[in-house]
Amino acid sequence: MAGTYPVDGKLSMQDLAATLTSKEQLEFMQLTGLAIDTTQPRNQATFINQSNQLGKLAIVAKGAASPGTKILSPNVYISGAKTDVDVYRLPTNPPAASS
Amino acid sequence: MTIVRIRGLEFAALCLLPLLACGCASNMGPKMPKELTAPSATLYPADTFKSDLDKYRAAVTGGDLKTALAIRNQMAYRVMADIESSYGSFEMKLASSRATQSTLADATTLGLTAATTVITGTDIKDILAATSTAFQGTWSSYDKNFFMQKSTEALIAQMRATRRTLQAQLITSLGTRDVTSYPWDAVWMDLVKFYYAGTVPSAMVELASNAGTQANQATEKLNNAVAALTPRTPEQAQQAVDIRGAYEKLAAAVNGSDTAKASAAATTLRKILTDAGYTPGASDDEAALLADLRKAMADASTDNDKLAKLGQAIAAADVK
Repeated sequence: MAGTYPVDGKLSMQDLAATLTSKEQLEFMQLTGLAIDTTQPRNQATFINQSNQLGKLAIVAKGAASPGTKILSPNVYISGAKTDVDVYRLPTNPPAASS
Repeated sequence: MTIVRIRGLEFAALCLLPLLACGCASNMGPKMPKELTAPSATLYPADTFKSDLDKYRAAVTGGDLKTALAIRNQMAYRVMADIESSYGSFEMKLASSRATQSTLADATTLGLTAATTVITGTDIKDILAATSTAFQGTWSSYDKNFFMQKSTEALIAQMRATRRTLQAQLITSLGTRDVTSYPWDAVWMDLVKFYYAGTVPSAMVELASNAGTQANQATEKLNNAVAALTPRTPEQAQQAVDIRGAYEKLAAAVNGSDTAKASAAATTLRKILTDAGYTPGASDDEAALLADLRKAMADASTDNDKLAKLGQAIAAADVK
């Protein structure tokens, strides 16, 4: 369901990207916002409904190179510390693209 | 004829309990010095109060705000002292009378229960047992109806906390605000609030309201915990991508014009759902089976075990 959801603030960049990707893939959603929760050390992810399958998300340190398209540049909790990151959308997987 | 036999020692013990209870009230605090109990020290007679109020109003009307301020503060502190004095004795009475009532109730119950054990006559034993039960019920009802079964300590602690907060506000306002921004009528309203803060009903409402706030906070915490996204690893993200990819292919086949492909997709959907631990209906058509897969995906979004099971079922089905 579209909306804003809390996400653990202790995840690594890879696990945070995987968590957000799983939510998008299994619940037909698209990430539109990612920010620090102002009330406690965790993050808040905002999604809208999306019927088309999207590519996986990748999160890297701000400014680091990554394939795909940069969609967000938030400040979030990574492994319990506030970190500036870039969120990329990777190209759609070949199996899904063939449908 | 029924023979009633109560052993001497037990009978004496039963008689002593109420006496012990009655003695407790005087052990609640030291004797108050005469200076503190003397009504003249704090008592604010109604006619003096009325006379002060008239002087205050005359000073305000005459523009002598300095005198008005002095009279306002003097009146406020005298009323506060009266409330303070009454509250002190009320708190003491509440603690001692409720403890006495409770002890007497316990003594009566114990006495009746003990009597049933030493009395040999079955009929009397039954009557005493029934009386004991009825008495316990009445006491419980009294305690519930008048005190909401709150402990005396909790009520007193709540009254003290609210009173301290209001008193601090009052003293601060009296010391920092003039008669224009904080006239006597505003002081009076705060004094009334201060008085009611030291009553049992007010403490009960505060306790209930605190409990309600705590419950709301707990519910919010729980909702947040339930709504939080399930943490995933890159491998689990790949499983989610593969599941979604398979769904897209099966949906395209079900919604396409090729009936043979739609029928094959239905067979695959049924196999996936069965392997993942679901039981699709025997008469479910392609669209219903596709809806079942979407439901299974929603289940997997919050449960890593279901995600793994569904991922394995999709991989085994080798959707092309």
